[in-house]
Amino acid sequence: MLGKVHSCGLTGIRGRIVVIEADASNGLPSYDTVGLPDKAVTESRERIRIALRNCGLDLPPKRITVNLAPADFRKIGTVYDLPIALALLQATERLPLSAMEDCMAIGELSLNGDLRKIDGILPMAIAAKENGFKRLICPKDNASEASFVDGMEIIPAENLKTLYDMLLGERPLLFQEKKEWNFQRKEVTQDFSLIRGQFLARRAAEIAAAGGHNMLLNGPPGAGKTMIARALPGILPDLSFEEALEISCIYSAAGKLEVDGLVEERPFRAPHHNASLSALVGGGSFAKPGEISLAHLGVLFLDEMPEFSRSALESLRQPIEDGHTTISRVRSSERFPARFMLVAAMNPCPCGYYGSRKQVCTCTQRQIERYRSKLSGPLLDRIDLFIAVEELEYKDFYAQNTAKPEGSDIIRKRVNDCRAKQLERFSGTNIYANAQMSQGDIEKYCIMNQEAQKLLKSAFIEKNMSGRAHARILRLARTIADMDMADEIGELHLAEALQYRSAEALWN
Amino acid sequence: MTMQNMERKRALWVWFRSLMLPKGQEKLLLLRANDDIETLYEMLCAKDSCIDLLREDVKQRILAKLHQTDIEKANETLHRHQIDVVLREEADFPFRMQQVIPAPELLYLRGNRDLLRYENNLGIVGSRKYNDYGKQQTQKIALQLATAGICIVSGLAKGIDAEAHRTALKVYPKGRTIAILAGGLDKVYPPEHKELFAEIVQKGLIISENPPGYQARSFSVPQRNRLIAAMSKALFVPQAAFKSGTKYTIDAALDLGIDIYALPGRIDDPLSALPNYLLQQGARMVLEAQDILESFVEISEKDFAEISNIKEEKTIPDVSLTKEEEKIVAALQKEALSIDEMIMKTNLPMPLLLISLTKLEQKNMIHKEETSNRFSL
Repeated sequence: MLGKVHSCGLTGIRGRIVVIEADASNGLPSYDTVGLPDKAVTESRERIRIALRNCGLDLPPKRITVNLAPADFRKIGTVYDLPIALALLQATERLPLSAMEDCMAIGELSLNGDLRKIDGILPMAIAAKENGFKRLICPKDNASEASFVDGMEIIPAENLKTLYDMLLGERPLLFQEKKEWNFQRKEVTQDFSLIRGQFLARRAAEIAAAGGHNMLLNGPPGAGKTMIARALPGILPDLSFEEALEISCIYSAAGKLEVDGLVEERPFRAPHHNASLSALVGGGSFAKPGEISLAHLGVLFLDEMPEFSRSALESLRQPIEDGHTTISRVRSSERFPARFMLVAAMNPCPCGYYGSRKQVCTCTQRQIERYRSKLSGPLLDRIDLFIAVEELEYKDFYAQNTAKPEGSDIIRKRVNDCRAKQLERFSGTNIYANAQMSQGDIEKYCIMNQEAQKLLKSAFIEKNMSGRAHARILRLARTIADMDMADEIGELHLAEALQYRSAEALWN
Repeated sequence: MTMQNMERKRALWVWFRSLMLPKGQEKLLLLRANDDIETLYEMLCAKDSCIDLLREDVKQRILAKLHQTDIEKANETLHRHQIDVVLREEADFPFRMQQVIPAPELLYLRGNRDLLRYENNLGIVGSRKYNDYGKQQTQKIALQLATAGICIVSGLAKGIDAEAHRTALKVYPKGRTIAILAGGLDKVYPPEHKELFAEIVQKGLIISENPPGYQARSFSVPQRNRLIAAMSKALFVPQAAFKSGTKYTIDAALDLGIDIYALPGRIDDPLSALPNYLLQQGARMVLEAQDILESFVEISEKDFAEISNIKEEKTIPDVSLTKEEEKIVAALQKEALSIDEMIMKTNLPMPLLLISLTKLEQKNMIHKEETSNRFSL
């Protein structure tokens, strides 16, 4: 009898169905795995043979051939252990073919027959559903993650023997209970109420969070750039279930899902500045998502931005524009989503005190120019808010007359309202925030009243704006108007938006 | 001296300098020939014993280039770059240049040769790094003086130098400017000033004592600075760090007995360290452009009075201000402030403050400083 079990592999962050066929015929005893397996898959022979014996299901001395189809797709990893073992049981006529109908099996075996957790169960479960499977057998530790896919029966398997008994009907089949997902914001360690002074940066952070705008914080060391950036996750809009699923898929495929189930908050990624291009964008001979994909729907924070290698920074340009990145390798070409909000921090010069009143800048003009030239024009062109962060004075810490700064909760409420307005506007499209509007969207949604048009015209001429700068001002003004719950962009919204570009002059 | 004779001398000098011999070896040869280039050329052609004093490689270099065609070639290069030459013995060689030590044998020129004989030159030198104060004062003072007919001499470097040149060019044809470079005139250094260079060639004069193809090195800049001093009747230092190349210009100016003027600055501002020190040592303090006129007797006070009202044109401020805008203007009256500082002073809500700032900018009432995050009136 020919055994046939369905399983699933990963390309990028998408599951791909793999059919496993096993045959046990008479002849010299042997065991062959064909169908482009990698080393880990070939080695599965020993794990499977011993796991089966330890479960009392010894392989008979026959000529065994295992085929993994489609044969042109490279199978990597250990996810095929369980389906191969089940296919072998079918081939040796100890498991009826009907037991595995409409069912997909995934899992790594240990020598005693226990099942081990694997990476990427979520995209695999989604692929199973899309391809019409009704059941999914997976390791018990993966079951709760898989259970978030609607309409799938998840069978958590702890041990090959118990699973075998269940499939034969000797034990009752157990199904994983569907876990409910509730958005829960974790305690943020960095609350906005702890940030003193920095009035401009606070307002800018709120706008950036509401509209998903890219932001550059520029200021001397110790002024609080990093503190503001770290407080940002606390005011990001709430995560929806669809977004959580999207993020979890990436983390699951990358083997970086730390919670049992779906991620519960927007990612905040802060790669160190020695990160290589492939660490940032993704890569490897079998493409893995990089930091920008791990920051999908969240924040990518680049501290000390000019210290990053130029090639790494330039590689951000295309994903910022497109919201995804394509990694092409000889064997494959994968597309990873990467719709992140870029938050960058930098000093105004190598010593950090250019333009400061408190300390003297010791850099030469040439050093300053070289430092700033690390950030190319096209990259700066993609940043919406340029914020100068100021050093604090003693009085800022212990000001008597000012009220306690607003906490993250209050700010977040406003951000959520503003984001809701945007989601309503963009419902039915594939964008979710003002920062992602295309030129066409801008013409459609950024309607200005007469005074605003007049102001924009004079500012455009006076500040010698580029076409892209013009579009960015409009996106920003749209967000400011949304925070005001206004349908039309007014003069005041535009006037405020223009100020967030003023620090840009430092680069020209 | 006949015209032809002079032409021949120029050609020979151009050829001799194009060999780019080490300074010491060059001097050795000139001493033997009593500083006469024609004699020297004849001696070299005759393989006079003086040639044996030279280093072997230098000797070979000279002997390989003794032919008439080599002389023509060197002069052609000059013509190709539209570079002119003035010899020390020529009538329009700047008088004060003869007094500087060591005096240049010849100068390479591009642009308006007539400026060589212009007497009312003011050297404006300073650091590459400047702040808004230094920039504004340089512009203001240079503008008034250039309009009054004073020629601005500087070194085409970034910062103060470029600002001085640009201001003088702004009031062309009244404004005159001379740039003195350390390298050859076939290349623009710094390359960012390509356009400024071209404009000065057109409307002013560029001078170098080094032949085309000469690469400026660290020691050529102080050498160049002595020429800036030599070319000027007075020297003005708006901003410079204490340790800077400007010091060489000042040393040369002191040797030549040239008046030194300095712009006072905050004592804790490193960019004003040198001018403040100069003031302490007895330099003349510049509070307004007129102060510098002391050194330029030919330019009468009356001429100057007419133009002293000239300022950068600014549209008349729109007088109608909102309450918030008035608050901001009042806060900025004392000193330049950043946005956060204005919030503290005015207690306005952030959006309203930002809106008012844009409005005030539109009305030309305030502007953002270029070298800091602050706004000023």
